[in-house]
Amino acid sequence: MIGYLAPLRALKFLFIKPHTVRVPDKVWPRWPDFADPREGKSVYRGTHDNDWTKCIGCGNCSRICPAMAIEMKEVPKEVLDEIGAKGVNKRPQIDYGRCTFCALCVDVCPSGSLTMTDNYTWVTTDARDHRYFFPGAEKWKYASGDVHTWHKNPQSDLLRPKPWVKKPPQPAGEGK
Amino acid sequence: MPIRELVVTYDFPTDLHLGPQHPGIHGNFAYILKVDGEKIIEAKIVPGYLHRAFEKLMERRTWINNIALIPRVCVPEPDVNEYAFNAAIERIAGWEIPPRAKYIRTVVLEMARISAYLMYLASMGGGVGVYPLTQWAFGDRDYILDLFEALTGARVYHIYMIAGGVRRDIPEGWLDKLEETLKYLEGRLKEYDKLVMNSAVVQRRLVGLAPITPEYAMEHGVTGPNLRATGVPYDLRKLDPYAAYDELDFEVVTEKDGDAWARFMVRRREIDQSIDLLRQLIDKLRKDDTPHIHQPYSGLAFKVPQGEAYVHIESTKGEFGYYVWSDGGFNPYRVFVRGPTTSHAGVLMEDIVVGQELADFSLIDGSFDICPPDLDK
Ligand code: SF4
Ligand code: SF4
Repeated sequence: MIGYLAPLRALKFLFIKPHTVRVPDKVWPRWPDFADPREGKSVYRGTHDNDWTKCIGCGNCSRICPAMAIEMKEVPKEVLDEIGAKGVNKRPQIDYGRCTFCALCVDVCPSGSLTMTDNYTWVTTDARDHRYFFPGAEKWKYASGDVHTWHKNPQSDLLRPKPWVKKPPQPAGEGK
Repeated sequence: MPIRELVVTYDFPTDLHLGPQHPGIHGNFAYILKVDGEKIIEAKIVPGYLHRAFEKLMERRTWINNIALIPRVCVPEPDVNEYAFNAAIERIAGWEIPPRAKYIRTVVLEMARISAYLMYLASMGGGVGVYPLTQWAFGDRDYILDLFEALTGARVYHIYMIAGGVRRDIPEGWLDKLEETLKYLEGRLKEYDKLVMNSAVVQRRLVGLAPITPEYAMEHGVTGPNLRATGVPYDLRKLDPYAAYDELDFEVVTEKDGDAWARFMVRRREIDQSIDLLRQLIDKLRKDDTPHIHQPYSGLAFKVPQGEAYVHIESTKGEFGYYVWSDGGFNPYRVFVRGPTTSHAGVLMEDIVVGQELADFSLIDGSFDICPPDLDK
C-alpha cells in the first residue's frame, strides 16, 4: 500500500526501548546513576598495558609501529631492579596522538608483555599525560583497565612463521 | 503588495558553493554550482580537502605497516582496501591461502557491504526527509560494528587482514552471534520497507530522478551498483571471482530504470543478498578446519619478490582496484589505487546534474553514493 502517511508508521517505535547505551560513569562522575559502562569485546584493542617485569626493552614494538608512535624511554635502573625486571632499562612510551590502535606492536613483542585492554575512556587534567601514554608506569596504571583483551597468542604471533601446506586433494575431507 | 515583487531575481547565473561542510554532501568535498534560479546550469567539483597522499605514503612503509594505513582510503567500507592490497601481495609472491582465510575474509567483506549500505540508506533517508530511516539504519549498523569489534578488535578500521590470511581466527560463539544479528536485521529490513518502499513521498522524489542509460553509464566509467541499476549485470564477484565468491551461490542484482529509485533498490536488495551469502559462509566455516593464515614470513618486515599485480574487487561504491608493484624490497615500489568515486564524482556528477533542480542536488549526489575519501586519497 503506497501512501503519504506511510512514514507515520515509525511513531509506534516511540514506545519501544531505545537501543543506545548510556555513557559510562567514568566519564560523567556527576551522574552516578549512569553506572553501566559498555565493556569492550573479548579482543578489543583499547589502551595499552605493559608488564615491566616481563618486558626486556628490545624495541621491537617501536620498530614495527606504522605510525612511529613508540619511543623507547629510559627508566631509572633502580625502579626496574626493585620489581626484578630484566633486559635494557628502556620501556615503550606511546604517543596517542599518532597511535592507530593496530596492535602490531603487541603481535611482535617477543616477551608478550605488551597488551591492549578493554578500556577506551580516560580522563586526565594534564594533556601531556594523555598524549604520551607510558604503559606500565604507576601513573598510567588505572587508565589501562584490567582485562587484557588483545594479547599475543600463538594465532596472532607475527614472529613465528605459520606456513600452510596444501595437501593433495583426498577423497575424504580437505587437507589441513 | 504581491509577494512576487518582493523576491529579488537575477537575470544572470549565480555561483553557489556547496560544501565542504554541508549536510547534503557526504564527506569533505565541495561543488561549485552555477544556478539560474532553481536550475543548475553548470557544476564543478572541488576535491582535495581529504588529500593525504596515500599512494606516496605507502611507498615509504613496509608491506606489513601498510595494513594500518590502507583502510583509510575508503571510510565507510575499509575492508575492500585491506583485501585488495593483501591479495596483490599474495598474487605477486605466489602464495596460496587456506580456504578458512578466504571464508573469513569474505565474511568480513560482506559484513562491510551491509554496514556501508545501511549508511547509504541512512543518507538517503536524510535526503528525502524520512529521518526515522536515518536513525534506524545508523542504529542497526552498530550491531554489525559490534560483530566487527568481537571479531577484529576494532569497530571501523579493522586492520584485520594481513598478507596470507587474517590475523586471528574467529572467536568461540561468534558465528552464532552473527546468525542472530542477521535474523534481527531481516526483521528490521521489513520495517524499513514498510517505511520507505510504500511511502509516496519517497517515490515521488526518487522515481525518474537523474536517470542514466547503460551506454551513458559505461561511457562515463560508472561501475558497481550504479551500473547495475541500469540493467547491466556487472558484478566482479561473479565476473572475476575473488576470495570465496566462486564457491557461493548468488545472482547478480539488477534494476532496469537507471534512475535514483533503481539505484536505491539495487542497494536495498543487495543487503538481502549479503545476508544470504553470509548464511552460506557460516555453513562453510562450520565445516572447515584449515588454519586462518598462511604465513611463510616472520618478524618485523618481509620482502615480496619482484613483480606486479592488479587486483580489482567489488565494493559498495563500485569497482575498487589496487595496482601494486614490488621491486623485491621491504616496501612497495609503487601502489596505484583506482577508486570508483573518481569517475562517479569527477566525470558523472558534473554532467548529470546539469538541468536539474537545486533541491534535488544532494539527493542525486547521495543516490550515486559519492564518497570523497577515495577520490582524494
Ligand atoms: S614491550 Fe615487548 S617489544 Fe616492546 S620493548 Fe618490551 S619486550 Fe620489546
Ligand atoms: S597499536 Fe599504536 S603503538 Fe602499537 S604499533 Fe599500532 S600504532 Fe604503533
